[in-house]
Amino acid sequence: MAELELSNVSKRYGGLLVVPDISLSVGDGEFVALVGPSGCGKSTTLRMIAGLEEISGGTISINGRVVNDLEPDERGIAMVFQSYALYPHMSVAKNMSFALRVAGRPREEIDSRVNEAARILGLTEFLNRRPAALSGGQRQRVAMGRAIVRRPDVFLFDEPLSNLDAKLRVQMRTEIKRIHQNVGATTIYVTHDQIEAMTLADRVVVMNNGRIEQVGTPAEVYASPATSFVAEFIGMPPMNLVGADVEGDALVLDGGTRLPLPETLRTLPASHDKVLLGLRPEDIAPAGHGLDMAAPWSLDVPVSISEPLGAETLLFFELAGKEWTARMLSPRPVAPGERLSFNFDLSKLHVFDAADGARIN
Amino acid sequence: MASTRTINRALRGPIFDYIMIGPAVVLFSVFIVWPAIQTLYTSLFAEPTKGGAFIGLGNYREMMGDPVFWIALRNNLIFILANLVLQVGLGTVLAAILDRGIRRGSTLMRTIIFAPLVIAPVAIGVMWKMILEPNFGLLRQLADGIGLPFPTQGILGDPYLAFPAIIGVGVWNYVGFMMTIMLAAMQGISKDVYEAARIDGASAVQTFISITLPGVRYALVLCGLIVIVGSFKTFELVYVLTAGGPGNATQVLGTYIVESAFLVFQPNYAAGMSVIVLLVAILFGSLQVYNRESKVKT
Repeated sequence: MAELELSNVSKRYGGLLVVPDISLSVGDGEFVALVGPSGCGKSTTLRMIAGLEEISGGTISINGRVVNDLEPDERGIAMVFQSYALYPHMSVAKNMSFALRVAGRPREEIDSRVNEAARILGLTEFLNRRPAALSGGQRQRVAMGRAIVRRPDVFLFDEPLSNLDAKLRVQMRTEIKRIHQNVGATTIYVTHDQIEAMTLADRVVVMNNGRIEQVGTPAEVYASPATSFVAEFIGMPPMNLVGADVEGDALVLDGGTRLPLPETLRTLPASHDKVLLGLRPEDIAPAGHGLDMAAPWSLDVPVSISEPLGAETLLFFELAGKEWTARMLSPRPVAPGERLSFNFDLSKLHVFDAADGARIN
Repeated sequence: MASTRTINRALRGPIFDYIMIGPAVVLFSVFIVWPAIQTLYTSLFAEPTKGGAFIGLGNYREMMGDPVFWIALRNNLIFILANLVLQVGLGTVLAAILDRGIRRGSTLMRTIIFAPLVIAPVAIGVMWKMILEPNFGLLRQLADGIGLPFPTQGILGDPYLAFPAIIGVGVWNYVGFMMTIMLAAMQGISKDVYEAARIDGASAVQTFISITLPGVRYALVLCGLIVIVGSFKTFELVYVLTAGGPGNATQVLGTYIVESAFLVFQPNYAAGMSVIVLLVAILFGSLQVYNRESKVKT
């Protein structure tokens, strides 16, 4: 078990600064997910923690010990790769025991640790098979087993489920969560899939352009996104975002639609005349087909597309030059062009600075 | 709608397949299979100068008692072993250095090491013969320049140095080819696997032994078989450099066959030796095919 500390860590490739300055504390046994779009620096950050990339500045500490100049195997970490990175010519048992054999551990200890990891992961019957004779999910479990047998201080996962099909990904997600609950190790998990991040992590670190946009529990980043980027990135379907002006007691959307300024936003600083308004799809619904709303505001608009999801339906419509998404808690069929009276829960409005995207309310 | 097919439907099928492979089969039969049968047939008869009667395995019995045949066969085996170690071994090490070690200038080094392969073996033989020439060769001048002794009869005229020199020239000629095959195989190993080994604490040597070598085992076997067959058939380099001399010190089956057939005029005896070389080549050739099929199955 271990604590991990990143202080002002940066990474530069020649003249290109890919991670300008990252600071993050991860507690003992905590599961932290680094999430963000491709190229945001999350994998680079993980590789710097692993020691596979040299850092250009700052310090990385594990259990209070600075590990900047230590080789990967000296850091007390284990890593699960997106490609599994199994040794193709070795059996499952040999793959899992490689690190222990290299370290010259006694045979009995190696066997005992491999058998224990295989039992936890349900791999006992596959110990003599080679990776080529395993399914994608089994290979992923072997990769996790290889990490578990080392009993590392910190587990690092680099998009471990990306190569699996959708169904298997959900199964493995549950499995990873169960293993973390059993093993209780400090874990850093990189993913571009916000659902993985939200479902697995104790805390989510949302990254963009090499910077941390927000660190918080899944509930916090969902309910109170710190920036418009986080608001749009976290949540499926994403939050509806539209430009607006604050004019006295009204919010005027781009295109001229006027909304009453809700009580909760009366204290908006005067300097924020131009804002970005955000509203999640579940906070917009046809009358009688949504959640209870504290401050409903209604508008009749024609539906452009409907996507039935079984118990609920996603409805798309045009407003203020943008396509909006609403979540209707009903399987009722909606024809394209059908006009519906949508309720907007203005008490749930998120307001961001139009210039830098920072949250205002 | 315009058809994108280039072959008419009526032409496709087994008949078309036979038509397509027909020329290759005919050429192979006329220039490889038939001469091989002819050679085997010829080897069963006495020399034309001795009446040319059918003598069965007489030429093969004579071969068993011919000391030069055994010298040539021994030299071929030494050539195979030396080339396995030096060409394949050195090629693998150079490939590993270029793949995992050297970051800058690897393309230039690869080109330099590969370059000798594009020169014809006869030209290489002539070039090295000039370099090793005992009176005014480059090596003689270098040795004189730094005060080292040089054999009076030259390296290629010394019965103990001539064959190692031929081996050295062969290595210089082919090591780039082996290195290229091995490098291509090594570049097929995932970078993630090396990183996983690094996290697992494997040293550079442990990584080479535990990850790289098993990952390139099929390429290694392929190189080994190419070297075995090539070394067993070797002719040009030895013929140009020493023609099997001094004495018979560098005689190999290839040069001994030519000498027997065209200098001593024992074509039927030479045919018998050719059959031996052919059988060995077929044996290792089939191992090569087996290796390729095993790789495909894996």
